[in-house]
Amino acid sequence: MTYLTLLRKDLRVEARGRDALSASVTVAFLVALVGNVAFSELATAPVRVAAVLWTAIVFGAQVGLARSFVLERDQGTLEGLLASPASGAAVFWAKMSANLVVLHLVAVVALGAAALFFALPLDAAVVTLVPLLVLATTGIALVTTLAAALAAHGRNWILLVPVLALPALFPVVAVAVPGSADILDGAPFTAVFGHLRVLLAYDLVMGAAAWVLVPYLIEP
Amino acid sequence: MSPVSQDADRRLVGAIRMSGYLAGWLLLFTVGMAAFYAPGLPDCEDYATADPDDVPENCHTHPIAAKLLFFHVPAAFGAYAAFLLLAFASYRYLARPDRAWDAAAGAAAEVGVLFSLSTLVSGSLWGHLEWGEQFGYWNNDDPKLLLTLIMFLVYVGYLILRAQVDDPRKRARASAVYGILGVATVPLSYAAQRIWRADSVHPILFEGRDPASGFVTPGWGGTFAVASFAFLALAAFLVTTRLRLILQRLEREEDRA
Repeated sequence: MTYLTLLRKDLRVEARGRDALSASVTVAFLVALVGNVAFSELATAPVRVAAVLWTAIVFGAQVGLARSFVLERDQGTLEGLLASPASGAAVFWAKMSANLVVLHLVAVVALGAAALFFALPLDAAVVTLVPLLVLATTGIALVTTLAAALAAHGRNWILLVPVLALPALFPVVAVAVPGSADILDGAPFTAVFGHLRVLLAYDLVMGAAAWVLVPYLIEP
Repeated sequence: MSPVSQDADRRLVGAIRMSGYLAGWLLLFTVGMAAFYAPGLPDCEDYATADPDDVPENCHTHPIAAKLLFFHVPAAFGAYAAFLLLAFASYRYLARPDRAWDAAAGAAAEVGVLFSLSTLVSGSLWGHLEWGEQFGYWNNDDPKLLLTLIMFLVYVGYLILRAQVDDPRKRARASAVYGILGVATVPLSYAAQRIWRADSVHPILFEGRDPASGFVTPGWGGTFAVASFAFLALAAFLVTTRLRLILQRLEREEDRA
């Protein structure tokens, strides 16, 4: 119950300010643009489009999700939340869920930007990209939120979040890029089952680890 | 109240002396054995005109560089041991907050980062010597390279996290959580060539079934074993020395307060 209340609060804060969303979307869009400029002559090779797509999502997440906990810290509201019946874990998972919503929107924009810059036909084939997009984006949101929670007590938290999150995100990128390149190349859905399985395992392992460790991380 | 009792400090000094003594002698033995006991491997250039069937399987382009095995792999073992200790210390801290365990985790992280950097650099040079342009200085096709690099970066992140948080209690708790999460990279780095069998330039050393793997040359197994223990002792010496310095600094700060 407290989780749902907190999630509603986090989503409402985001809906009113749209700080995380606007920052992430802008950065994701710009990374896609940089990718387009850098690869100008090579245009639409699927693996390059996939690489730009996931680089855009990962860096968008670093910018947008980094301040999740710092916001509460600076306003002194984290102490308030923890003094209420809400547990630290509920605070974390509510933020993680709100970030999940934000990052999926970022992923949609990044895909749109990639389609725009690389003349990617956004036809029915893109639907087969959805499971991979969801699983990988979930992993990125989870790890980046965890990094934001770890970094919240640091002085230069904005620098700390990518330092903590990016090494842990290599596996996601290493699986999501070839997987989505295959799909963009016209491979059928069944061809990327292996990739989906690895991403699912990653999400489950990271989720379980967060489930166990977060209560130690966020406490009064 | 000081961070550790006088009795614990005495034991720590004992551990420093013991591991330092062991490390010193074993490293001397390692150098001696690598030079005189482990025979040089055949040079592939000597077989340039020979029948391909006659070329020995263990010939190297730079046989002398192959002796980096006695540095490259034991240093990785030292790093693995330090990171496992870090995870154990982190677990103990979360179970019952005690600054001594937090200090041990910090000391282990520094040593582990140093050792894994040694492994990465020595491997990079070795690969460049053996395969030249084909390898460059870095080749992400090998899963072991990528996973060891990730492990190294994860613990560099750990050190940065520790340096960034001022409040000692928050620092200890955040870094303990991170230290437990990060240890997942250790088995992945160790077992990379076992999991992704075909893709690695790294041989599988500890497996009897495959005759092509392991030490095909006599004298190498023994030297490698001594080198491994030498680097583990060196890691233990560095961790305990660093731990004692950290504990003494904590004590001084408390005396001043």
